[in-house]
Amino acid sequence: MGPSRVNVQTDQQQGREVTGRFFKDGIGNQFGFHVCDDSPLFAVSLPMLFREASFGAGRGMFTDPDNLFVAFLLGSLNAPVYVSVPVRDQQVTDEFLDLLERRLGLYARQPRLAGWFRIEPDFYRIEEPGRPVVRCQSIKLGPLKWRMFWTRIDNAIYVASQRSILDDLFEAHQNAEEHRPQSPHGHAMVRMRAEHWRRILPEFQLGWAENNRTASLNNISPIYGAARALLSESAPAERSTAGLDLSQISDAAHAEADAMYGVHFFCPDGGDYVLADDGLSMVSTLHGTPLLARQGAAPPEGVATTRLLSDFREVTATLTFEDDGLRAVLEIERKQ
Amino acid sequence: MRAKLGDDGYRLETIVLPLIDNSIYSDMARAFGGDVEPLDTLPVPQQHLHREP
Repeated sequence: MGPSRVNVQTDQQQGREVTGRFFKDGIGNQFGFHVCDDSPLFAVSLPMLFREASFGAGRGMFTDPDNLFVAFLLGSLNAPVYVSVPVRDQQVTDEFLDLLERRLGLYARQPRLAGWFRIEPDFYRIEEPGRPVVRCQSIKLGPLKWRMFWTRIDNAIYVASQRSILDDLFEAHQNAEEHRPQSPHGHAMVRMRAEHWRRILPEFQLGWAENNRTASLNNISPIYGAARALLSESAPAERSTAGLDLSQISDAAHAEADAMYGVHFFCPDGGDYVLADDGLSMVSTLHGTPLLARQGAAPPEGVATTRLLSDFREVTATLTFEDDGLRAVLEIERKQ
Repeated sequence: MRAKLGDDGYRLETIVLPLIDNSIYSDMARAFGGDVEPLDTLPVPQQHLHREP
């Protein structure tokens, strides 16, 4: 056995020890996935994305950890995201980060082909006075390049899709007492900070308006069914609506549909349902018909959705797995 | 089920009975269970919007 082979084996053994210490003693036992405020390219439902990544197709995050990475990658395409991991031992963590950058530096010198494209990994450090060292791993696939930045700031490791997030996090750590949130106890948590949404708010409002329109137009079929029955009583022969009080028939049809189905059909945006002049269709005064739908860019002022959403500051859902069952807590903080 | 309604917000708490032999529940309990801990201890930037889990 030659000296170079001994060195390689020693290096591999040290690498395994450093990695083992990092996962055993270096970091805590939790992680957070964070989404920052920005105008999204796609309307991605993150809860649904995580649900699919966790349990989709019978194989989930907990049986295939790669799915978590895929969720991070997909999320980073749409909005700035980062992952946080609390650190227990800073020295052990720094040893691992140093080891990782040596490995990634070696990996960056090994481009390879994937189908038509050449995969070109790259790795470098960003060193600025007075700030922690930021490491960047990028992967170039043909014309596309995807970057991932990470650093340790005080007692946490952050992995971010954009370097500016790490700058903001550094500032937040400098003013830790000012930005430190109230911390619920439990096993899993989802928190929405409505006080921070600015650039994404118009997208949210459009999504709420779309949902309200869909719900509103779904009501037309049962109400129009009742209206056709009433029209056949009022104008059985010539099928003419001349002389009929369509407004009164529309109201009666709405009441009949409510009674028939045992629910109250209503428009979330406060619209009404009226028969068209020819009696051949039912029209929502706000959303038109299913074949020619219309809506606003946001739910109208004064309706329940707008009032609720303009009023709350933060929503937190916490799950705790107990012997008695799953404890679920939902807290909605209102603006003062 | 416990509910609290106040001027500063709302709080709803419930316990879902154990779902015996449900693989999703078992996976989550195995992955997340154990001693409870504070979950949101790190500072957040002003553009922070959403956190899971």
